[in-house]
Amino acid sequence: MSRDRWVALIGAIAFSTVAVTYVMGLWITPPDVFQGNLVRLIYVHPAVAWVAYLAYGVTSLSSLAYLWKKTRNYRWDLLAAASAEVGVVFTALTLITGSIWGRPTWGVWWTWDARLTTTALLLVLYLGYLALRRVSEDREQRAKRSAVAALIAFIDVPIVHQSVVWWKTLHQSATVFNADLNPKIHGEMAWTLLLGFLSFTFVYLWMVIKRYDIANAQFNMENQSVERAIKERVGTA
Amino acid sequence: MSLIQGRQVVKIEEATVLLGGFPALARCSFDVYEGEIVLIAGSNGSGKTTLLKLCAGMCGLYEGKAKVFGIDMKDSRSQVRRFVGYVGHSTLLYSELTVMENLVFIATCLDVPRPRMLQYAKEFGIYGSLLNQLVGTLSAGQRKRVSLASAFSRECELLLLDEPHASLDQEGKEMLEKVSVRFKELGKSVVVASHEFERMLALANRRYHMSSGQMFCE
Amino acid sequence: MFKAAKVIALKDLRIELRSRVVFNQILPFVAVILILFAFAFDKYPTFLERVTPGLYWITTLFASMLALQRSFSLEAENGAKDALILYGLDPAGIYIGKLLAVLVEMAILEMFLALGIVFLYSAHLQELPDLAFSALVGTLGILAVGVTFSAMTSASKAKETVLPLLLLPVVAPVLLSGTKAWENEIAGKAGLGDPWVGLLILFAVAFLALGTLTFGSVLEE
Repeated sequence: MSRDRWVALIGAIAFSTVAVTYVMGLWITPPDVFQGNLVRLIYVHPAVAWVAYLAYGVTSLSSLAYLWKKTRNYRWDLLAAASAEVGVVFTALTLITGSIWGRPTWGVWWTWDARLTTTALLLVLYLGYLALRRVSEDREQRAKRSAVAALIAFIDVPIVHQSVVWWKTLHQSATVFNADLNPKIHGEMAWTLLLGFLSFTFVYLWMVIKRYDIANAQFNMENQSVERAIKERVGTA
Repeated sequence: MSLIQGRQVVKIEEATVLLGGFPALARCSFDVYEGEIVLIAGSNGSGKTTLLKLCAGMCGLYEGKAKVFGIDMKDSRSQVRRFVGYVGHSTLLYSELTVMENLVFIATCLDVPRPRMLQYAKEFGIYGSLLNQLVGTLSAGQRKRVSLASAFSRECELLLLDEPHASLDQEGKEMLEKVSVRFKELGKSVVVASHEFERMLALANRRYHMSSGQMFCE
Repeated sequence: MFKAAKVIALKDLRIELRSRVVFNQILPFVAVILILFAFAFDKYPTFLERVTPGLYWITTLFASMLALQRSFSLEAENGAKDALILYGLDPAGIYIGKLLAVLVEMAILEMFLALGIVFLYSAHLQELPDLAFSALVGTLGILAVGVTFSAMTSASKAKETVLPLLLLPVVAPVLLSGTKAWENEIAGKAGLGDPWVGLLILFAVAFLALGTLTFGSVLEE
């Protein structure tokens, strides 16, 4: 099977699993005893957050692969960038879905909970990474610098998380994730939850491949225009 | 081509160097041998500066081959810097330090003995009370002399001078020529990119002409 | 590596002694911030005293950013950064040298800052050795990342705007841990065994290691 076919297949799986999750989440599964229909966000919110972390993991690994001389290839840099972009989208989605969930359950759009704070910092961290990518004009320079920045972010995330966890737990007895609010998961709810994770992972895969292909096409186009410019220079001499 | 004297120092074949997507060097070939002065002429934007920077290991290679002292510029260009001196358009000096402090800083970085550094500075007319002046208060020509002196004091095997005549006065140009000839006689190589071609013509072993990022022999 | 570090650090400090940019410009800036905070929290006089640790760390963070920018604008002038590469200096040495010079400058600035909060906010800084230690380690952490990011951005047109966006989210844990460590130390609750101080140390060590290893990739074009 050709590469295009595979990509199309992944896209089709992503689309259909999201559709099934949608139907399962909204109609098939029962409402929660405490949260009512609000509980349906559980099929989306954690899955979206998982994809954000997955995306940044891929960015870190491919940045490392670029920096390591034996595996240095410009395509690792393109992959890191593509994954970070998708990651930023999913981090934003995590915050948005979290807010929508938080407003009726906690009465506020935002609370300085450890997970929320880490996620918000994660968003600005990678917005900085994407901003850095736009600063440099030289290809090699940009690749090296953004790879280092990605590694800094990668080391930083656990420290950020640890610090905000302590920040909350050392000073506040009850966390927002109250045990009473935790829905009991069983039967079709568990299946739908699992399906949600699966479907958004496929959505991630499809988006990254597409984004990478665009970046790669751009890369090839730049190379072509370089070739043209070389020919032009050689011709005019 | 003139007579070939010794070991080949620079060997560049069909090299292309990109500056932000633009081929500043386009399939350029260039050689330098031991103990010669090579002149490079060429109009603005013909790629002279980029060529010298490539030899100094300061820019990456897009295509082609480049070896300086046998070091491949494609994957280990940082290693060449120990053997190569470079004077470019910027003076590489700190304007908030005195001439003396700048020279001492450079000497320490490069492991050049201080007396030798001062000796070269003197050869370029930098001595006495001038040494205690802030670099920021020097004229452009004086700054050029300081950076030339510091580059020569390394006494390295290959010296790359990018428009060294710019902003130098008559006296300064003569000093430069004198030192360059002495270097040549010591078996070191000097590459000069310049508009003021006539000046060094008599001293040069070979001269090249650059145009549109390529090299032509004359 | 240590030779390069020493040369670079001494050079930077000598330039500072001559030009006094940190002393004559960043120090007054710190004073202005302290006064402005007093305006911002005007309604609640006791509040200032309670939030002093946080204000201390925010001010340190902003001052570090200015000191870093100053440190790298020196190198951007006259292509001096190219020179450091051309001299074949060890990148790790350059990194440590730049870091040490800014650290010394920041240590002096922070002494004045501490005096300022004692006078203006009536802060009680009894546990001085503990406070100074956590301040030093925290600042080291900020600068360990800051030197790397400043070197990346100093030559670009957007340096003033990109550096804060890159640096501030990364050093957020330092601000948080530093503030908490200071709160505990001022309250006399915890000494050096405080987990917050541990986090500050972890941060500084992790980013010193990463900075030393990757500075070569950052510097070379």
